[in-house]
Amino acid sequence: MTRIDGGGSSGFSPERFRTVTDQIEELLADLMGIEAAAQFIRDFNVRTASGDAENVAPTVRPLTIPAKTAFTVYPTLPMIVDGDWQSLVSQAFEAGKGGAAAVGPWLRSLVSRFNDVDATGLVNSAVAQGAALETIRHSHVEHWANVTVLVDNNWEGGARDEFEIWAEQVTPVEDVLLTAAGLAHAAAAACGNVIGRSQSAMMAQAEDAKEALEDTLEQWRSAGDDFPYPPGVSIPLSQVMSDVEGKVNEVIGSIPLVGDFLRDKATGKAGKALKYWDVAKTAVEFGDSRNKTETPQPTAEEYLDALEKHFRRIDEDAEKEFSAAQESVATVADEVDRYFGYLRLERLPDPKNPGGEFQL
Amino acid sequence: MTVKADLNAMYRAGKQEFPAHARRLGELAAAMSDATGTWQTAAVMAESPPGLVDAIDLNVQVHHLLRRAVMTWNDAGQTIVSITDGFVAADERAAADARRLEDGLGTKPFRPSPVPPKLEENHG
Repeated sequence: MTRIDGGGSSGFSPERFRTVTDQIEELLADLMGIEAAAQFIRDFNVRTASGDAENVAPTVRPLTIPAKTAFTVYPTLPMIVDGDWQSLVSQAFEAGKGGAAAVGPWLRSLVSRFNDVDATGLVNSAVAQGAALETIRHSHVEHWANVTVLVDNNWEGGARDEFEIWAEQVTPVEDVLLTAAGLAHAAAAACGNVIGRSQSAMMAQAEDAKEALEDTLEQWRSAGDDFPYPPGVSIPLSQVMSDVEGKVNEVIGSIPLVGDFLRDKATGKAGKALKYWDVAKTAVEFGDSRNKTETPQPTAEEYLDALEKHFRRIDEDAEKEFSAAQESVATVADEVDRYFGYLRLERLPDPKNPGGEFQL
Repeated sequence: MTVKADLNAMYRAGKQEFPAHARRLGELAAAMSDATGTWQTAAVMAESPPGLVDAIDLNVQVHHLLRRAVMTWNDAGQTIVSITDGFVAADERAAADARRLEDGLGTKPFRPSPVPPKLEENHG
């Protein structure tokens, strides 16, 4: 027997996501600082190459890049008389580093709607409602048929007609209600799964970006001889977005129509609407969404652009799925609204009260 | 069908089966109430996802209707017990049969199932 997955987003927690996005901010700050220092030196070298008369014979000048893990580079530079290369490079590094200020909170704001949602709790509560529905599904009133006949033959008070009407309506009405409750729990579970998958995608994307940034920084550190030119090693970036789309329909599937159900209630066909249970139990898994592909080594700006694009895409894909869930619920919800009066079982009158009527 | 069998079936339905069914409906309504609360919290956090908000609305509506169903199954159980009691009161042989029913079913009081509290419409 399959079931709605009660699991949450794999590996995600608000604390972990916060930690990783803060680490991305630190790593980006380092990378931006390194890129700014390298750019500064490249710019100066260009002027030198163009024949700047104030500069004299270039020579290899070891410089320390004050990154979180400091490292030494060996650019070939001319001598300058009004300053020293180390302080100029350190200033350029600090200026560049400032470009990453508040990147962590900004990244989190792009997907803030998912940050603090307990997707597992949402799915589990939907599953619990489904379990309660299963209990009702197997509920059986053994003496129901006898009772309707016996009441009909032995009723001495008033309102016998009301009881007969009630007896005809109660089962199909309950079936409609259980079907609607089943659809609601399926839709909630689907939304919970979408949120969980979004969280997984956010987490995977952030962790991949963090790893890639660490690789990039390691390449800069290990290629000090090439400084100020960036290392040309390709590193992986993940493409994780397709995992969020198309999941709602897997859970909800085709929706029984309450209107048809009610129209059929007098003909004994109404029970067919209960097929939702089988559809709702389609398993949904939070799979490993990583799928690394080789891309050219990105700059800090490219990292930021890629993260923004991916995070915005997560939000957009989730919104599409939420809307798909809404469309699925809307049909039945509208019909429950429209037929609300028929679905509201009236209170039966006191059987000892002749001429009693339904109570609202 | 003998009078004894009729009495047994009616008392069993009125005092046991109908309240039991009402109780199961009430348990479902309670489960829906719990679920709705969790969904409302998630909906607020997730900036009101349309599908989830509609699922909450549907749950609230169905919960309201299930409360009515619980009450009417209790009504129906009470009705059947009242009719059967009247039958027993009017017939000496039926009264004797009722006293001999298994587990004292004939003299056991009718106990309606608890009706779940109303659910507030309050979500994100």
